[in-house]
Amino acid sequence: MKKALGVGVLVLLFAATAMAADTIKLGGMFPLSGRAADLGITCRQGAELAVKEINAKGGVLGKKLELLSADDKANVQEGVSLAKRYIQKDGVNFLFGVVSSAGSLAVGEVAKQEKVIFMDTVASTDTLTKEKWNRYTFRVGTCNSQEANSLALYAAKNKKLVKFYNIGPDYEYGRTMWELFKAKTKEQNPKAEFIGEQWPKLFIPDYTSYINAILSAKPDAVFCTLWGGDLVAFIKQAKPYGVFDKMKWVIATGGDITVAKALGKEMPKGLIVDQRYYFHWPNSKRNQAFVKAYTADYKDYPSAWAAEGYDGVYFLAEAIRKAGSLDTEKVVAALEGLTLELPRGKATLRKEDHQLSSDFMVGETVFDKAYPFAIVGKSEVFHADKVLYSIEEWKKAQAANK
Amino acid sequence: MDLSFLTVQVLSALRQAAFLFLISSGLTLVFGVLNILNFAHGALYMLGAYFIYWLTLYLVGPGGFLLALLAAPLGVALIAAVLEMGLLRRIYIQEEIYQLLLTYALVLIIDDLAKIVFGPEFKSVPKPDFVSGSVTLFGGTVPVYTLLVVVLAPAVAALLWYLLYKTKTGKVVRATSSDREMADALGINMSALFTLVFAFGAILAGLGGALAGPVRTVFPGVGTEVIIECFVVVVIGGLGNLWGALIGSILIGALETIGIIVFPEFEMALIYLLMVAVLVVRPWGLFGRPLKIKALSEKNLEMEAQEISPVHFSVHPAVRWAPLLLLLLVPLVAGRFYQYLLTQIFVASLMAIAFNLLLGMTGLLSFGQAAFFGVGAYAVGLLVTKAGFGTLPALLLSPAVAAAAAAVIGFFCVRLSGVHFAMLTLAFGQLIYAVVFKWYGFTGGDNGIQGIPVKPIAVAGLAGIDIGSTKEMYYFVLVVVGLSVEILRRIRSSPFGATLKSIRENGQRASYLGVNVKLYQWTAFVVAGAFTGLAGGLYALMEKSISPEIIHWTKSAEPVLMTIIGGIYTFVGPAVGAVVYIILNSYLVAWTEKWALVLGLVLLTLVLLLPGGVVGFVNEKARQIFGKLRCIRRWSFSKSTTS
Amino acid sequence: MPLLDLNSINTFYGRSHILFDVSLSVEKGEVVSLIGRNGAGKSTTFRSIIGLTPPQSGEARFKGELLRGLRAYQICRRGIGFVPEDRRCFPDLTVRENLEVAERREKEVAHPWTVERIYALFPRLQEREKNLGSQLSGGEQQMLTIARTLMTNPEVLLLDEPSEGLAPLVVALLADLIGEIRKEGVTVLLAEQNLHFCAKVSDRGYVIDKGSVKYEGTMADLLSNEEVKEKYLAV
Repeated sequence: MKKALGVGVLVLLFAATAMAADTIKLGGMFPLSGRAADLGITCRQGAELAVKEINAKGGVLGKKLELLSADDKANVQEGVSLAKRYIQKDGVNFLFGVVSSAGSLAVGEVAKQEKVIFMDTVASTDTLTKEKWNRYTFRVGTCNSQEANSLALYAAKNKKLVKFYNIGPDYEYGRTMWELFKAKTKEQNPKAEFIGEQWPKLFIPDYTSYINAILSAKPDAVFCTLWGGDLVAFIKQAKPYGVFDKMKWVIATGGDITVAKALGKEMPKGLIVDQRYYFHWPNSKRNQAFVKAYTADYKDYPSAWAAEGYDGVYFLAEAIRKAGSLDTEKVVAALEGLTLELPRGKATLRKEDHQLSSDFMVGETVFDKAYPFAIVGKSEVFHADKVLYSIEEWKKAQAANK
Repeated sequence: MDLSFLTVQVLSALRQAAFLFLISSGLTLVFGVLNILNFAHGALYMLGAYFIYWLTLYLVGPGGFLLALLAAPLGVALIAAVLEMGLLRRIYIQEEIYQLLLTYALVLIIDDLAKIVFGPEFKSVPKPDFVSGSVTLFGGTVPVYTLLVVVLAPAVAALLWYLLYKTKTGKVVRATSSDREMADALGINMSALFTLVFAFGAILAGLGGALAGPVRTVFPGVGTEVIIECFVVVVIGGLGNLWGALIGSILIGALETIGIIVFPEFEMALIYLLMVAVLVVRPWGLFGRPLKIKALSEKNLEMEAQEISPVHFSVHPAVRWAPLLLLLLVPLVAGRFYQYLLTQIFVASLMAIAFNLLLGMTGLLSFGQAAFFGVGAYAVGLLVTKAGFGTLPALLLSPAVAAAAAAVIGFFCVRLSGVHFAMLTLAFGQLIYAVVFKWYGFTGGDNGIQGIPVKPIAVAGLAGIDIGSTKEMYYFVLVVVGLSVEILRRIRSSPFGATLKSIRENGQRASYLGVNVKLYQWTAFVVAGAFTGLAGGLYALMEKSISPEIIHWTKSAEPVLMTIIGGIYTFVGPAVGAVVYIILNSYLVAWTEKWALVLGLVLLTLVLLLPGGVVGFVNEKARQIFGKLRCIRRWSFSKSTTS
Repeated sequence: MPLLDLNSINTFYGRSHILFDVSLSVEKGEVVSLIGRNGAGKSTTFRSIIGLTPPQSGEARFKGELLRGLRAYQICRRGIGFVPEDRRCFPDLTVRENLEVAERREKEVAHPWTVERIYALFPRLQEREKNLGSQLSGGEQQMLTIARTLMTNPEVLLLDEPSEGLAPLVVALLADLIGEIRKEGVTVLLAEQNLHFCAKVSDRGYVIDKGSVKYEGTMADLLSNEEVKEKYLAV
């Protein structure tokens, strides 16, 4: 068969695998096309900035960091394929990135099989560091618990909110967030009722029917987990109905700067939102320096995804330095319990479950003269121990994890 | 249910229907005249949205909204006209399936260009104030924009009706739609007409996009989401029929609105259920007409002639076994990654060759093979993780399970042909996708099944054969795929295979000879499904990770693309296509962020330069070279077949 | 110079060689027949002329001009009208609309065919003016197909098996019709299986069998030539 002959030639041409250059390689997997491209591209940009800064100071252990980047198309199978390629062909030292939760679970498995460290940046499913935890997977972004619980605690301050409705994308993220939110809300306010749910398919273009359903249910508050472009479309379509005045909205990642910029002045005020990182909070030197450097390079304020990419590289760099070597087991040990001063504030990679533990800020959408888009104000900060799942919970989940 | 609720719901459904109609009408019009199911129609929709964004932001401001609404579609029409004259025209003489590949390549290119020009962030088109608020109608709140859309769409429909039924050009278009050749023979300028209709279809798509821009988000690739819905509308309504597009849009709009309230859990699958229901009862759609069986003179027989390779391989065992030997030696010289890549190629080749049992041999284009791939993969995944099955028993069951699914699905599908067959297979595929996606408890939902353990294969008496490592898996997959391909090859050259070919050539004539066409088609479908399921099972073992994506129609498109690339009418064509596609995909994605653009350009070049695919091209060249070399001539077919 | 001249036409369907060095010519004002059995290659010859299945080799000339490389609509506009054997009326258009879409106004023609002139020749069509193409009987469809092609102002009309499947009464009408068309100044090349029908309407004919022209002669010649009839035209 001619096919085999052709392949044979190609194989021989590429048979000599490249000798590992004297760099520390990070195999980055980001969605660079499609609906989540914004998240992937900014995440990569944050990571690239960190690589640039660290290399400018001489790198780590005398070697430069190198970030390889490829489009995983937010597709689980592509992610797996890429991860294996990075390990088997490019000989990367670390797997990095991933936005889709399902994708992160799959890459986590590859990391476990190949015994290569995977630093997850954006994918936020608790499962990655809880039910499907493995030794080689770390997450430098926040996870669903932190987000859902903080939102629930913030909303619970308003005792008038009793009847809750949900609208979220129909996949694990949406459903898990609702479950977490319900549990925490009920805990804070035993009188709370959950009167309905809507699960639009991810990425549908038109939400008007769902908006009608919400209107006729007349809830006090709506918990919304639509994100990115979906959230923008939803808000644009919902606004004429006056829903944002008629009820209180609690929107996960509603403070996303990409959403705020896309909506501009159209963003409704007073929405209870969070973001996983804010360019305007905390007002620390570290944060300001990061924002300044990012803005200089990319002509834009850093999004949460950018910050998570940035943080991921810094954690790895620091851990390698601490371990004094690239040996996987040593770096794992160095990462566990590592605390860094990051743009988001002081944060620790927990020893047991490898999940980032940090303060989480929730607030409401407000307009500030300094910016042409809405930011988050009237904020409240929640400490990790209040919102992140406990180690006891984690240990229980490990019983079933093999 | 009070009046206000009803009002709001009805207007919601109409709004949904309005958008669908605008886009679908263009699609069905183009199909009716040009006989192309234009995949790139969604990309034209996207351009309409981008143009109105650009116009309102940089040129006319939000106040000039209406002006932009008129100008944006014209811009899209201009681009469409250029595409038709420059590219599409060159492939009209080729098989229709090549047009599919061309429009797919265009989608890749246009989407990526949009990303490069406008950036990857989603854009929001500012709405002018006069369409921003809402009114109260019968007590229900209705956004003004909804009213705009709900009024505009029927106006466009009326305009279309007038143009098609009351103007001479419209009548010419309808005439050409029903009989292209006759219109040609009557002196109607086909070139100009095609360009006109294509551009007009683009205007409709662009208008849909421009109208959608202010209320939806605009981002590169937004068209891919609407195009499938439009395909459903057009197929349900009847291909080429404008009334069908109208009724179909209303049906889908209503279904989606009602579905959210009545069947929220299964809303994802409702439109596919509707399509299945309609096609089972009315195989050509509600207003459609049976597509004409292509006369011999209308078929591109050049391509089919390439089936005959210039050298008869089975005469030379050395030629047949050499590739296998080379492949066995690969792990000795190449690293893990290449073994892994080749394993992926083997699995994809099996899927593609099985697919081509339907397309190349029987003339059935299936757009739902991923369903069987997924069924096989999930069979292995579930049996191994939940029922503790061993590797080999699970793998052996995967083709059986897939065959069972194919038997059921095939029963419904073989009643149709051509595009309708393809759409029905797509619908069933999406239904299975929806079930697997939603059944979180059993299948793991969108997370899939990760970390599938690959236990050593127990061989009676001896210790287990471990196939967990990359190299061991490589050999295992090579052996299984090799055996499967050999079986498929024998099927191809068997009397059964010959009968399939006769059905492909002219099913009607075959039935006159006493062939039970439906039974043969169904059998081919089941056999193809079985081998596709086996490929899926191998995939699960190889990747140790599966997710519902492998059941999605985008996965079904892969064997189609691979087969077209390699060559439809040859046996190894699909495998060659698999090699090309997987290597391209793997290296392009790693090399550049603009992989879609490059891939699209490569596919475009392939379509334009290599009719008959890679293998067809090689066969032609070989035929020419061998013809000149006397020493080999005695081994080859010395003259072309004559009837 | 003959109006229509075919010289050694070879036409293929893919790799299948259908027409072998087919040559024929038609002078202005003639009615010439192309006679042969089913599958002999009559339709393929017509399709080769009109450009729907262009020949691989050989020359087709119309008024001296080579037709190679021209699209069907271009050939039609030069003055060749094709009436296919399977009728092919546009089913969704009315009789009148069928005629209207075929109306060609590009060329300056001395005495163009109009709908009124057509109705004069085909009164039945006027009666059925508002019916859809799909609602007509076999004979009416045949009338419409011929009428429709006449609307393109052809100088030569390629009539492919017009009598097929028609009742004997209608066939007789058809013969008269061809005579009328000839009187209106249109040259006719007629493809038929029925030798007697051809004898009624045409002056001379070509016998075609298995893709090549086997015999050429006047109708009288053909009618009396038993050998040719037996060998090439008997069923």
